[in-house]
Amino acid sequence: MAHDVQDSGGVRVVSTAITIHRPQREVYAQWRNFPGLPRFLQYVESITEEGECSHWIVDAPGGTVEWDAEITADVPGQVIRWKSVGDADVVQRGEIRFEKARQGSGTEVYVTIGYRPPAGLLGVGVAKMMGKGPGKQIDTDLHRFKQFMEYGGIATIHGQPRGAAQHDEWQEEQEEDKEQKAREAQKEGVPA
Amino acid sequence: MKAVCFSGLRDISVETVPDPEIILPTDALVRVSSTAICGSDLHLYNGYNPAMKKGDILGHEFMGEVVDVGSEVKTLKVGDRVVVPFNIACGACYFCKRLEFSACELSNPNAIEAAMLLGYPAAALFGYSHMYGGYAGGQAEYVRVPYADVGPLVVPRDVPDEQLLFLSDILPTGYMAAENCNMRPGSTVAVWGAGPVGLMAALSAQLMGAEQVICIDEVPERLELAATRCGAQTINFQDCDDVVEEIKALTGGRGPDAVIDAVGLEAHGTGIMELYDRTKQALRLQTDRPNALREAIQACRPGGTVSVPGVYAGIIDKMPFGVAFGKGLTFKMGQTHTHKYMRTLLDHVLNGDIDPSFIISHRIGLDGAPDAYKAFNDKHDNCTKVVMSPFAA
Ligand SMILES: NC(=O)c1ccc[n+]([C@@H]2O[C@H](COP(=O)([O-])OP(=O)(O)OC[C@H]3O[C@@H](n4cnc5c(N)ncnc54)[C@H](O)[C@@H]3O)[C@@H](O)[C@H]2O)c1
Ligand SMILES: [Zn+2]
Ligand SMILES: [Zn+2]
Repeated sequence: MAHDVQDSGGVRVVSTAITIHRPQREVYAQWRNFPGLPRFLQYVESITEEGECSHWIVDAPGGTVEWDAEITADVPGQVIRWKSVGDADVVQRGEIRFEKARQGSGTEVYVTIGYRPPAGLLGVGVAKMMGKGPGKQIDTDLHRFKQFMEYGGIATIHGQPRGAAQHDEWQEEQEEDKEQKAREAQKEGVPA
Repeated sequence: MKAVCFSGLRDISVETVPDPEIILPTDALVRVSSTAICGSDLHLYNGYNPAMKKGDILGHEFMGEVVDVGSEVKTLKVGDRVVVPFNIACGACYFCKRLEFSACELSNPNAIEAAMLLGYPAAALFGYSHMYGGYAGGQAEYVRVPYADVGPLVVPRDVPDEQLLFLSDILPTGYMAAENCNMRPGSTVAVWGAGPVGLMAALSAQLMGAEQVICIDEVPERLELAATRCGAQTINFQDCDDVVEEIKALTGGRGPDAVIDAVGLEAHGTGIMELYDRTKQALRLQTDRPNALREAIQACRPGGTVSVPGVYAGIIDKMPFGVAFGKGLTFKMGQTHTHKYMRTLLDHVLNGDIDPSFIISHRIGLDGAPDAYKAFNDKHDNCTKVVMSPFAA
């Protein structure tokens, strides 16, 4: 979960990595089953496959975005590359690479996604979806994928009880406090 | 059901909330028979964790009876009497397989938020803020326990709760703190903090054959327990000029083989360093007050081990790191791998080697929680450990 974000010519490139404690072939096979991906990818509504092409429907805040993607490389157990084709709402290309982990018997998964967000409101929605910190949504989705591969389910607290008190001044004070601390930590050169 | 909720800085409320339900097929529901307040809860109480939300249900030390299990739970059964470890671990990930349960990579639904803030995806804990997963805690009548086949330890019916409850946290924590010292028969060890964790560490050191245990605190009744129940020599740091010198005087001038900081980020101090730390912490220039840790490093003998079960959260200042380097000290620390120690310690309890119930000073119902948090925090009313029984008549 270390990501790197660069902008080049209006294209935003996010790369990240995660280690999954399962064999390379298994991790590849689960990912290659595109119609099954919405289980892990929080905002992806559906993916349908027709030959070399797949159709993605994504539920971004502000509206639904859709695109067709085509596989540009597919080496079983090792790598999948794709790019959007035709009149895509979000122009993008991506790569997911699977390597034998150096620690233990798992798989190192490397993901790079380059995308050009649409203009207007939808663009704002897509930006939101990609998270406050760029790459956060990709990391979250990969962590969900990891949970599914290693444990078979995804952790949640949704639906548990809590006390009546809601968001209030305490929260806001704490938020300010957090930002203040982060600024100071940065000043001292220490991660917050 | 009734539950103890966080309501803001030093504000605890007892509320009626919906009963928990099975959410995932690997969950269990536990009806809580006993639950304790931990020194770690005091860090939340005192506002050191910004990821607490008002209304969060507190508590991570609890035991009780299984009243429901999800469809994929294999070993745990309705009716089992269980003690539940405070960390939530999946049992399947790289770290769980290495028995490093407190580094579980999967249990925290907010792992990415935690990683963005801390640099690592902290494992989940019961009742310990949204940074650690946001799971509702066990200071309640009922609690949902995820990964039901991994955490809960089934315990026999004929042993009272008070002897078993602390398997959930402080007994394994004290035990791991002692184990981290590479304790051998004949070892000498000094323990800062005679709170529940320090006392369990002192007791564990004895069990591992330590020849000399020295406990340091300022609360007389806690030092009394260290002396009478853990075979320790005691130092009240308010009554002596220089704790480090005092310890050296008790250990042939050299210092103990190992030192344990069972105080953590809210250490009290004396004199100018205390003022320095309080001011810096108030100004947020340092997040933690490392008084005990500084002394421990200074007192430890060359080549010795510094074991830190006390919780630290952020940045500390004025660490005598040159001394640590010069003496070639080994540092061991961290959140306890509770699951790893529970069975061994259950055996010790059943054999009669350990009875940790001596630390309990207050036995109450959930309604007493607000007063009990205050007494435990202020070290008033001889409060050494609070146990709440949600259903006691
Ligand atoms: N590592 C873990 O997994 C784990 C588990 C449980 C608790 N903890 C931590 O262990 C620490 C102790 O927990 P507890 O339940 O015993 O809490 P506690 O607050 O009851 O005990 C702390 C004791 O330290 C004493 N103290 C304060 N400043 C001191 C100083 N400068 N020198 C010596 N003693 C000093 C206090 O008087 C008190 O008796 C806390 O930080 C808690 O969060 C860690
Ligand atoms: Zn605790
Ligand atoms: Zn795990």
